[in-house]
Amino acid sequence: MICKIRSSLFTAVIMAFMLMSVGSALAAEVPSETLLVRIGAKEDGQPYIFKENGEVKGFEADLWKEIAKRANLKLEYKYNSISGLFGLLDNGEIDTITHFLGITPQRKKKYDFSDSYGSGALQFMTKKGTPEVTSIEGLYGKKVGVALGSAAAGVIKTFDPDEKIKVVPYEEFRHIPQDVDMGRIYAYFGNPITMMGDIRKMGIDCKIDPLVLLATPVGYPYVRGNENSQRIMDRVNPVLEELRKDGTISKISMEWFGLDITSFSGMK
Amino acid sequence: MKVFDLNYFIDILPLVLKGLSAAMKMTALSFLGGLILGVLIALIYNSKIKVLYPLAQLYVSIFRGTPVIAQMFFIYFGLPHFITPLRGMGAFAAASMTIALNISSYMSETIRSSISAVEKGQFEAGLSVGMTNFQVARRIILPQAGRIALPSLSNNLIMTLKGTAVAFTIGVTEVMGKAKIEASNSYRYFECYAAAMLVYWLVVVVITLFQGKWEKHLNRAYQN
Repeated sequence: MICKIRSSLFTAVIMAFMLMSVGSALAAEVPSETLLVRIGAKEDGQPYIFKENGEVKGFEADLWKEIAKRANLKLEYKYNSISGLFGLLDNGEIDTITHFLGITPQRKKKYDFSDSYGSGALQFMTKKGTPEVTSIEGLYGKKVGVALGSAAAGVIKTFDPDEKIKVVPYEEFRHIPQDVDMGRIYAYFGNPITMMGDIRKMGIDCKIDPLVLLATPVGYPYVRGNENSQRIMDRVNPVLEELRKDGTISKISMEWFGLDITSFSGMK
Repeated sequence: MKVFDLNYFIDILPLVLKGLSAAMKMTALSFLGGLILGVLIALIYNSKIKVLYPLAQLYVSIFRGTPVIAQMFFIYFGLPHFITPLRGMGAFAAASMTIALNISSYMSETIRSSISAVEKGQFEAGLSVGMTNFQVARRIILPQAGRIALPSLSNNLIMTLKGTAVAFTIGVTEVMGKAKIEASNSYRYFECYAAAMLVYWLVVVVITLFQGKWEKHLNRAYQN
C-alpha cells in the first residue's frame, strides 16, 4: 500500500518537473543570468549606428536595447571603422559587429552569423509623378544613375548585360538625387536607406519604387567555434525572431529609415 | 598583384582613348567660343566703352580668379536649382560653355597685349596708303598681332584641353571619366591613370609640334 502511494507520488513529482521544464521552455522568460556582449560599431554610421553626445544612437542601437532587455544582456560598445572592427572581432576583443552587415558568401567563409533581422536592398528612386519602375525592360533607353564603384553599379550590369539601359556613373553620389529631381536622369539605382535619407534631407520631390533587384539578408557576425559567442547568439536568435514577429524591428526601421527592412525580397 | 601590369595597361589604353573624342570636341568648341569672346572683350578693353568696360573687367576677374571646376559646378549644379530653364542644359553643353567662358578671360589678355605690341605707326601707315580701318586691321595689324599671339594662344589651347579633364565631375565621359570608370571595375588605378596621362601628353606633344611649325612659317619674313 505504501509502495503504491510512493510510486504514485514519485510519478506525480516526475510529472511536475516535466511540466515545469516544458513550461519554462514555452514562456518568453528573461534568462536570469546577465551576459556581457561587447559590440563593435562605427561612431559615424548614420542612420544605422552612431555616437551623439556620448550616447549611442541609431537603428542598431535601438534594436540592441530591445534585444538586451529581452535576453538579459549587458552591452558594451567599442568604436572603430568597419575594417578595424573586423580586426577586433578576429582578436576576440569584441563579440560581434552591428552595422547592417550583409550575410554574403564571402563573409560566411570566415564567420558565422546570427539569424537575419532584415535585408539590405537595391531599389530605384524616381521623380514623383513618373510611372513606377516595374521591370528592367521598362528602363531600356532611359538614363539610370549609379554611384561609381558601388554595389548597385555592378548589379545593374548583371541584370542588363547588353547595356540597353543608359547607365550614368556619378563620381559624387550626392549629385544623383538632385539630377533625378531636375529630370536629368530617369532613376537613381541604389540603397533605399541612403535614398530615403536624401529625400528627407534634400526635400526633393521623389519616391522609391517598390521593385527590389537584390535583397541581401543582414545579420550579426561572430567568430566560428567561439563558445562565448555561441552562448550569446543562442540567446539573441530567438529574441530576434520574437522582435520580427511582433513588429518591433519594423517599427524601429520605420523610425530610423522611413522604410521597413523586414519587407524586402529580391528579384531572381 | 603586380605593381604595374603592362598587359592590362595596353588593354585599357584603347578604352581610355575612347574618351578623347568627347575631350577633343569640347576643346574645339570651347577654344573657338573662347577666342570669339576673347576678341570681344579685348575690343571692349581697348575702346573703353562706358558701361561695358567695368563689366568686362569684372568678367575677366571672376573667370580668371576661380577654378574651372568650381565654375562648372556652379553653372551645372548650382544655377539650375533656381533658374529652371537651365535644367534642360546637357552636361556636354554646360562643360563646353564653362570652359569657353573660363579660357576667354585668359585669351582676352593675350589678344589685347598682342594687338598693343604692334607699332602704332603700322596703323597710320596703312591709313595713309588709303586703306579703311577694317582693311588695316585685317591685313596689317592682325597678321602681326597673330604672330605675336601664337605662343600664348597655343598655351591657352593646352589649358582648354586640360580644362576638359574635370568634365566627368558633371557627367561628361571624357578621358579621365573613362579612366575612372575602368579603375572602379578593376581596382587597378595606377595603370588606368597612367593611360590617361599618356593620352593627354601625346595630344599636347602633337599640338606643340604644330605650333613650332606654324611659328616658323609666320617668322619667315623675319629670318636674317
